[in-house]
Amino acid sequence: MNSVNNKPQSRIFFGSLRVRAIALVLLAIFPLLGLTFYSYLEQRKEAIREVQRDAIMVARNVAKIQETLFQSASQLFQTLAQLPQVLQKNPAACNLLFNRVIENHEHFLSLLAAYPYGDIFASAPRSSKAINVGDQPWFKEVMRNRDMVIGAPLSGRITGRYSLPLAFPVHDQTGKVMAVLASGLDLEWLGRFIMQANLPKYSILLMVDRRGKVMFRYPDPQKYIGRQLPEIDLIKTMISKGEGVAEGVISGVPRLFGFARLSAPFQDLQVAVGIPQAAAFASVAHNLKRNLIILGLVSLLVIAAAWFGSGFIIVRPLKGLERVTQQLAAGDLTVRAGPPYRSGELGLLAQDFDRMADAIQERDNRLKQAAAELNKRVQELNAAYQELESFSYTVAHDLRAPLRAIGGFSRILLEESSKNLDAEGIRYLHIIQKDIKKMGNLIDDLLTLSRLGRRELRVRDVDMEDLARSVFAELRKKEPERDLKVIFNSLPVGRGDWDMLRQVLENLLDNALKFTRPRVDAVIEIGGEVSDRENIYWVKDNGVGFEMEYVPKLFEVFQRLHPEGEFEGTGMGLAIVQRIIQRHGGRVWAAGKVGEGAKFCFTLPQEEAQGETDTPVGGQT
Amino acid sequence: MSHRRVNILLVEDNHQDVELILRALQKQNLGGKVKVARDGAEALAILFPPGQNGTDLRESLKVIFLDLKLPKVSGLEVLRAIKTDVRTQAIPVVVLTSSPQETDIDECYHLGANSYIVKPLELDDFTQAIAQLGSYWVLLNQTIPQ
Repeated sequence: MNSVNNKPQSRIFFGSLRVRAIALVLLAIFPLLGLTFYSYLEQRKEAIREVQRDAIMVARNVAKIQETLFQSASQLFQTLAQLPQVLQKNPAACNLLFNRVIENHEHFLSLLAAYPYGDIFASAPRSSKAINVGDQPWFKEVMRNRDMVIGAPLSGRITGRYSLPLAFPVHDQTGKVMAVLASGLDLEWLGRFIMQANLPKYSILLMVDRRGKVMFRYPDPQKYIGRQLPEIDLIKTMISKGEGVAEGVISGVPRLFGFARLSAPFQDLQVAVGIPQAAAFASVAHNLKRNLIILGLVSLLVIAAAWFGSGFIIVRPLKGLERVTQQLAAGDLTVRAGPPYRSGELGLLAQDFDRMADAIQERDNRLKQAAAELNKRVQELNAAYQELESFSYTVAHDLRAPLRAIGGFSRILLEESSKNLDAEGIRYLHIIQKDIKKMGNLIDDLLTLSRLGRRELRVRDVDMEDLARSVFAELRKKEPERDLKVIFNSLPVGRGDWDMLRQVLENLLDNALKFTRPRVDAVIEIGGEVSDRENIYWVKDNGVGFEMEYVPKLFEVFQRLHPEGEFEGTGMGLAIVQRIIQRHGGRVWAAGKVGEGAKFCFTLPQEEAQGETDTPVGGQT
Repeated sequence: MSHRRVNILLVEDNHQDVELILRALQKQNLGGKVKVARDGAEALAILFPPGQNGTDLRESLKVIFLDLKLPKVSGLEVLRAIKTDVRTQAIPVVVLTSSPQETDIDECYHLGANSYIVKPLELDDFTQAIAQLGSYWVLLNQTIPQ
């Protein structure tokens, strides 16, 4: 149907306005997607900061509480160290006292008093065995430092629970250590605290001393407590920075840490709280997921809107315009895209289309009018031609018949009744005879001329030289006694109607013979040459010639340049020559000078498709 | 009516031409064997008289000289009638006319004309042409034996 449909389908698909509209929508969605991810990353950073803030806050609180516990333990030890039961090292009274103390202080799991050599003389809860703690590191240290000592955590010998041993020296008046007080500070509260601190699942709490020894860890205290772990990057950072935040992988889980240091004199201890990154990012990831889903749904909606919307807004009006264009192309010039017109570019396009269609229709109308006029003219011409034809028929038939009668009977009169006529009468009859012959020639020439318009050209290669020679020989027979010189140059082969070209050469050579008759040294020359796109032929004579100013008249019908008595002829010969050459698409012209001669030239086109400029319009009747 | 001696049917409306033709035929001693029709209708009436008549004439005819431009029924129509009727189609028809029109020549031959002669203008040529036609078609040419 049309060329558009012959294109590959893929080109139409990717080139279609609809797909382009969707591509535009997708292009607009990409920045939104980028923005979503950017905000996700920002939220992630914020979440990290928030979690770390939480972690460090919890760590500070834990440190603070632990500090407070140490301080209250220190105050308790100072108070006990001044009590007479302790100073007198009275086991029974001390046992009583210690029991009261641990009943009132839940953080103290145990309380004991020992001699400087290590034997315990009082304890709560009470132990039935005699125990020596002289080999304990915290005991050795308190004896050396003579001040409160925080020992390494242990699983209590007495309680079985994790506790932090605290030891305090009791001095006598001389300042000598006379006894050692010790207590197991409960560490499990830390675990409980973390559990109650509303931290995310799998959060951890870590307390270390400055050598990297784990004082407490929640969860799984039994795995870590007492171990030396300074190599862990986190602990190194904690020790070097004191307070801050960090990231690290503990137990295979990436975590965010906040850590704090206890204030003096407990600055050896540090607390860290670790929250799993996954927990920190959970809500952010959830946000991202939600945003992506919303964006996806919105995109689908927008794409659907673009698909159907472009159909309504662009494709449908364009299809309409395309249909109208095809109708116009198919020849229906009355189709229009509007009105009404849409607003915007498509409306303008439709208006422009209609203006174009108007212009085409107007031009078409003008063309049709012109064609109708032309057709009318052709018909008029045809009618005129028919008239001319019937006229020539009349001339041929009706004019010749009476002429023949006049000629015939005047001849019979001359032959059979001349004895009844005088010399003058006979002369008159001869005049009648001569003029009848002349009129007969005139009629013949007229018929020839009118026939030339109707006869179809039978174009073929014509040996012009051969034709000229034979025509000349024929004409020469009429006056064989004449003495004249004829020169035949070589003539190029021409393309044309043999009979008609023969007529041309006959007329031209007949003229040459006729108008050289007064000369004694008559010379007739025939020649031709091949020119650019045509062949030129000429016939030259040294006859009576003519005045150049009369050249235009030469080729007109019935035009004669000489008195009738001087040269015979109808005045039609050159008109016939011109008509024939014109029908061959060639040109005729002449040059001459009075008393010196004339030269007649004509051309024949070389092309096969030579212009038959005026084909017969009437056809056969 | 003695049709027995009629050898030539001359269909010609021009009196002068008739006279010139008859004069030419006279020189061949054929003048008495000519029947003249002045128009096409008359020619058809002579060739196809009402009833069963006309057989004698048709059998004695050796040639028809036919002009083309005739009153009432044209020469072409007469020619068509002669050449489409089984009774006359074997009779030679010589078209004798002033018209050298190619269309006429073409049509006449296609209708079955046996010869097409353009009347010469010169009396000598004309007389000679007619005399030749007469001697050829009547004396020399052999028609279907009766």
